[in-house]
Amino acid sequence: VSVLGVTAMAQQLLDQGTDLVTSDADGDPDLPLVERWRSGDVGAFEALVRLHQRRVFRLLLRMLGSREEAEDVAQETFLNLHRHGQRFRSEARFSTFVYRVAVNAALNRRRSLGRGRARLEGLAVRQAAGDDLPEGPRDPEASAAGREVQDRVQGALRRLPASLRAALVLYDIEGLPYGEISRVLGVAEGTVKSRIHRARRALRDELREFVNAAEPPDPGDCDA
Amino acid sequence: MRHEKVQQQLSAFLEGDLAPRQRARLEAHLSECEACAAELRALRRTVEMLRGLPAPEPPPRLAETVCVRVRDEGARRGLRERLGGFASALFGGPWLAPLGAAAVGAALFLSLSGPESAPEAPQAGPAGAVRVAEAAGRGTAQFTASPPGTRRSGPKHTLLASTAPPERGSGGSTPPPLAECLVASRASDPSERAAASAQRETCARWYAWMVGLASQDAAAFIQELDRLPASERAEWLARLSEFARRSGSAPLLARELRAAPDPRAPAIAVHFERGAPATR
Repeated sequence: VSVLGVTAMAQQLLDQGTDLVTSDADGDPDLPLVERWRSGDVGAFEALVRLHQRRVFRLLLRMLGSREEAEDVAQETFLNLHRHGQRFRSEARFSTFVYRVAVNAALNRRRSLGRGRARLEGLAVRQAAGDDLPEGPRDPEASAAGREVQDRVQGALRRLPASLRAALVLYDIEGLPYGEISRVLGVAEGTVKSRIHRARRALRDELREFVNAAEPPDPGDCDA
Repeated sequence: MRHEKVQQQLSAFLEGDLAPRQRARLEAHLSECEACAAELRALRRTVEMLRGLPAPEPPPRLAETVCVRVRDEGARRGLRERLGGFASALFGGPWLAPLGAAAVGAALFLSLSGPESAPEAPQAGPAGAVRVAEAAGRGTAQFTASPPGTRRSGPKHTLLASTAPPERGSGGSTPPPLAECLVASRASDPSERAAASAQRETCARWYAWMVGLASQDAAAFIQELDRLPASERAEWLARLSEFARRSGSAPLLARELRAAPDPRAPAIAVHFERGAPATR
């Protein structure tokens, strides 16, 4: 069901695709490979997968919280790209298109998760944070503490509303500029900024014990 | 300056997004208001923690798996086209168009439709397992494979085609052999031709349907083989692999079968890898 759902969702979003048309594609380093792929060279598509897999996987892991799910959705992302690649408009950067398909696959995946999965997700979050640690902890205590922090950050991310989480991950983890995030999510730049800010505040609330934040000040005057 | 306004500007301040005048005002405020300064520190620390999450390596097999699936999809697409074309070339005749549709339909519309129970199967369906439900008045039919006379909780296979579904030949216990279909297509007597036509159609639908099934769900394919009388299974496999080889789908089916967890699958895959004896 989820695979069909993801495909249907991608199709629907790719059908909309017009707002991917920008002047942002100048100097898109992927363009030569994209052109070869669109003229039927499957090897060029494979090269594109290898070029983009790292950031797609990172994005999906932070969006979904579990390596297993991230891998699953990453596969679907690339298959959807291959199926619907002809809808990519070369006026946009290819990487923007990739992000867009990946984010939508992730959002759709979250929606398709039943309540029965919620219990398992806690475990998945721990796994996701832990799996990423460099191997061979030199200082077990520091490592355990670092891991706990990572677990908590990933858990807090997972509890954010999906639209806020997407904006935050694209900005703070992927390092995309506001304009590109706006094209990936299909919302105005002002909305992107506002979502990032709201997401950071929500995360700060969740991580209060780690960031030494006092209770947020009353929304009155400082001097009041 | 109101806290609420300060709060809204802190994120932009961290990113250097504020205009110089706004920035100066905010900095002046922060130097006097410890609560807002603490909030800025907390927000900055939050961002650091977020950005400090380790960058995961993608699974080593990710790109490879995607590429294999892309090539498989390409092969399946080719199979759909070839099945339609092959059926046309092989059988010919007035039922050609519906057969082409059935063959393509077999590959295109075979889908897993969820875990609900399958309807009761009729006694004499093809391979003892096909239920026919004519869609009212539109010449379409839906048929569902399920174990005879049982209900099951696993996925069921629904095949939609623009013609009637494959049915077992009226007299025989196996679908008509491929060789007979070829001979029948050259029948000259009108009554022979009519009988042969029906036989050809049954034959072609069956091969196309089974090949479509194998390409989509090797486990279900093996299940269908299981329902055939044991004495006929080898002969059936020989003809299916012949059909698969001629339609160019044998390597794909062999790969699907090799990947199936069923312990019998490798032995069945061998038929598609080396090909069974040609038509007898």
